[in-house]
Amino acid sequence: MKKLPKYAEYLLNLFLPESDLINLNGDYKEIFSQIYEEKGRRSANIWIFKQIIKSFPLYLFDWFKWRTIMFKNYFKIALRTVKRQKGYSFINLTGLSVGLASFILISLFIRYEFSYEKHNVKADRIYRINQIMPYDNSPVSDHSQAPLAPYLLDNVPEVEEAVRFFVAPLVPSVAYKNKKFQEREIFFTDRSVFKVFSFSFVNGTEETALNEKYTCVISEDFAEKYFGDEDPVGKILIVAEDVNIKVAGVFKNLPQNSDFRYNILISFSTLSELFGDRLSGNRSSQILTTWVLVRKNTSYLEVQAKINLVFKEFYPGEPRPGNILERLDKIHLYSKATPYGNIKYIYIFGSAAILLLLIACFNFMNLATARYANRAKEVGLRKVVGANRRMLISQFIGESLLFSFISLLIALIITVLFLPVLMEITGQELQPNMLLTGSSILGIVFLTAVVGLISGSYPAFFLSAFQPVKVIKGELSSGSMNANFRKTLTVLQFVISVCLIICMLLVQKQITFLQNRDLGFRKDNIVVVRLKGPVANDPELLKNELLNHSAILGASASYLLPSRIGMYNDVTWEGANDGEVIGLWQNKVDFDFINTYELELVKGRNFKREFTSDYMDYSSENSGAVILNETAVKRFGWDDPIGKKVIQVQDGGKWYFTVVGVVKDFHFSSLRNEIEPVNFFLRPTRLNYLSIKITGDNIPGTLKFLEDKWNIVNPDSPFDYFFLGESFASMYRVEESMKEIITIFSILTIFIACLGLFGLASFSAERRTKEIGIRKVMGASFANIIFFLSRDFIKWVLIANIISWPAAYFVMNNWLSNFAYHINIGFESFVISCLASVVIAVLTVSYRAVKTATINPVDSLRNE
Amino acid sequence: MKSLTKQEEQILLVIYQLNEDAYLVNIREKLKEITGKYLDVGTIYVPLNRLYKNGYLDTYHGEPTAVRGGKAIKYYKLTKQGLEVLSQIKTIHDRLWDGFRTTVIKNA
Repeated sequence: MKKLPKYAEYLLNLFLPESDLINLNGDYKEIFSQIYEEKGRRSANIWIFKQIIKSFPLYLFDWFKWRTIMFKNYFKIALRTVKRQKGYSFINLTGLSVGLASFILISLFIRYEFSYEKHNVKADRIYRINQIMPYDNSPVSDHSQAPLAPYLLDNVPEVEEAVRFFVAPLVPSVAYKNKKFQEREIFFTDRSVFKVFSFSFVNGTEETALNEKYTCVISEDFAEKYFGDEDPVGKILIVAEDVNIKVAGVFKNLPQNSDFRYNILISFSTLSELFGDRLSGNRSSQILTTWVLVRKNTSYLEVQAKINLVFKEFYPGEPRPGNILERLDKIHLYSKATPYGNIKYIYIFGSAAILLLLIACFNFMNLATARYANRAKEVGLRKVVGANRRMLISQFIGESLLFSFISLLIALIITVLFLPVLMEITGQELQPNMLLTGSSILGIVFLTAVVGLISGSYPAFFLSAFQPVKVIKGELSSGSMNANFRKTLTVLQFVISVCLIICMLLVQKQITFLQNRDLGFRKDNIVVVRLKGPVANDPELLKNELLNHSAILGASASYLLPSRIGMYNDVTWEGANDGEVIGLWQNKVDFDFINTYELELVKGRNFKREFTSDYMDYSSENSGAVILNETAVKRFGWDDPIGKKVIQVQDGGKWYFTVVGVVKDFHFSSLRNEIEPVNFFLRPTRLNYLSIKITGDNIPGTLKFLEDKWNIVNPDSPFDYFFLGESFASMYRVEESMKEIITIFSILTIFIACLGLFGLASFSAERRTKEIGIRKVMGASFANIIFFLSRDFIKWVLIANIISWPAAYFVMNNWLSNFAYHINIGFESFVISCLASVVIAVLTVSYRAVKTATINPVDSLRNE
Repeated sequence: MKSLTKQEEQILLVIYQLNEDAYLVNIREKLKEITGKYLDVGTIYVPLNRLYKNGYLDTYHGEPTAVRGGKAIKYYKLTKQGLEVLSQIKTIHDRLWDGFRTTVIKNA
């Protein structure tokens, strides 16, 4: 007798009907050996192969038929179980759908964050040139020098194209016919912009747009705003009162998921024409952003090295900034120079979503294993009539899959309902139809399947392992392994919840701290007016007019606001080592700046009107007076700063400034950063902002007064103002939205965890009904029983607290280190969250406990 | 009377001819001997199983043999019903074929 090939043996065992398997196998073998002997191995092999192929369709049909029958049965049983245990099914479905919904919402958010700038076809080859000065703690700047772009094009062959973006300074006005607005989103750019970034034109062609001086392209929105139904191409816009710019084309609005915000792009040649070489030929000032398109198949690190090499020729003098290339599509999440988004928050939200989903799965596992007694008989019976373990496992996993897909339906409804809330919090433009793309449907279905598998796995293996004899005899051991497993899961759920509560409390505390910290200058009740036109050159006139009003306490014009000092210059100082330089933040102000903002002078004096030597003046070597902050003095290492010199080195020359005063340190940027050295120069002309200190009374009246005065003094420009306090509100927007999301998450996790706890509590109360009846008969009091029923659960929650403390401490310590100024973690958040979790757990459990404890023992003991 | 397919009919007849030792392999052999064509195992097993279910065939196991790895062969034999069905078919066939002679073809 010859042996069948292995594969044939295997397939035959699979295909042949079980009842006749042995017999048929023998038959096949017999014929096989016969053919083998007559015609050789080859023919025999061919024959058996043919036989198998031929029997396949029938096998398939058979398999399918039985599957359908069993599936119908499983489905029926599953639905019956749901119906019979409404409460538990409700808990499971709620938990799973809330978990799934928040996971879907968060993934939409994350996907949106990652989609920034991806609409640019060449996004993976576009890099921004960031520059960093070679000293410690030097900030990364996204700005570079104007002549750099053409220089790189000429000297670095790997650079295919280069584009510059220059932001029009001082929010100029734009006018067409009788329409006139202040516009923030005006950029000057090279015409290569169309070759680098992806544009689609509604009107006009990109080949010719921006080729000439005084031409621009505008966005659809902008065209609508100024031209309405007219065709904008060829029309003339008047920018900044006196520059005529011709519209050469209209481009489609930028998508929301882009950090570029421009409505008008004006040809770069216009800029050179307007400002001459002072701007576009300046090789030392970082005034604009430079973008390069590197050639295909070149490593950006190589290009970066080459750029730094040729940069030595380009940039005169030392110290020289280093150039760092930053890829366009990574800027949104990873950039240090322009932190729009933050990859850290993506990780935080992502893990929160996963944890939430896990908690929901744990609930399912917990309740399913806790309720095993109800299913044990069914399992026993199925086994007796021939179900094997594999069938049972697939039955139970199937059930949990059914649950997870029903939850998915509910979750989708929740998602659509809560999408607007998420949009509100994150400021993103999310649409429900984002769920309908192929990849998201696939992702969601896959996710739901995984959730079903995870939550069904343990119960399935647990239930399918029952021994039928024992089950049917009624010898069901409760199994300490199973109980421990449930305990572990519950504790884990609470660990996660408590962690989130602690994080929520600490984030809240830090935000309150950020918002209420004394910044060292006045920020409330300050109205800031943007200066334009002749007033900007000489604000004194307007200032004096305003001070007559009783509600106006003071006014000061300045180049920059104290909260936004963003000018930076390299200086050296009296007593510095040779060649030693530091970066000094600079602001140009008038006489009243220190008084208006209530900065505290700790040494020396304020600028004085009558001292002409105080005025900033680059025409002589002694260029004026300077007021420093304490950090600057400390950095210079001076004991007695008054009268010492600060030396500005620029374009080969040296300018000496005499220190006349020192102000106490104040926070001129966000509290994330340490206070940096800063100085003030006196220059009462050519300033950008007028800060007006007002009393809090009758603000509308005061504003009206301001506007009237403005219109008298400066009738040509619109009155444009904001409250300084408002600009602070937006400073910690990311932290605010993070707090909101964490709050929502911690509420959700604790909600789901409590659902689970409630399920377990009712289960254990139900099982112990008789025990409680006996205890009551023996004299246990109501309080005794409540304690006795909730004791275990409270113990778990306490254990969870203890485990979660170090975890939360570690996470929050890490987060707080992002801020140079932050709260101490303290212990009160831990205590509060511990108390809160225990109280919530007790309330959840006692609802069931009270119900059980009040049952009349006669009823509970009589029920057989 | 339930009708039989041609295949079922042939299988029943072959089992009748084999009398004692009818099992799948020699049924297949015998069919080849008569019709000149080997059938697939499945093509024989399926009608065989159906005939068994319909009560025309009965099965019995022989002695376990070494050839089959110590397992017994499953043999088939006709039941009373099977015999009845065959005799009914034979009657019908005889009447249908009455007067047919192979020589006629040559003259036609």
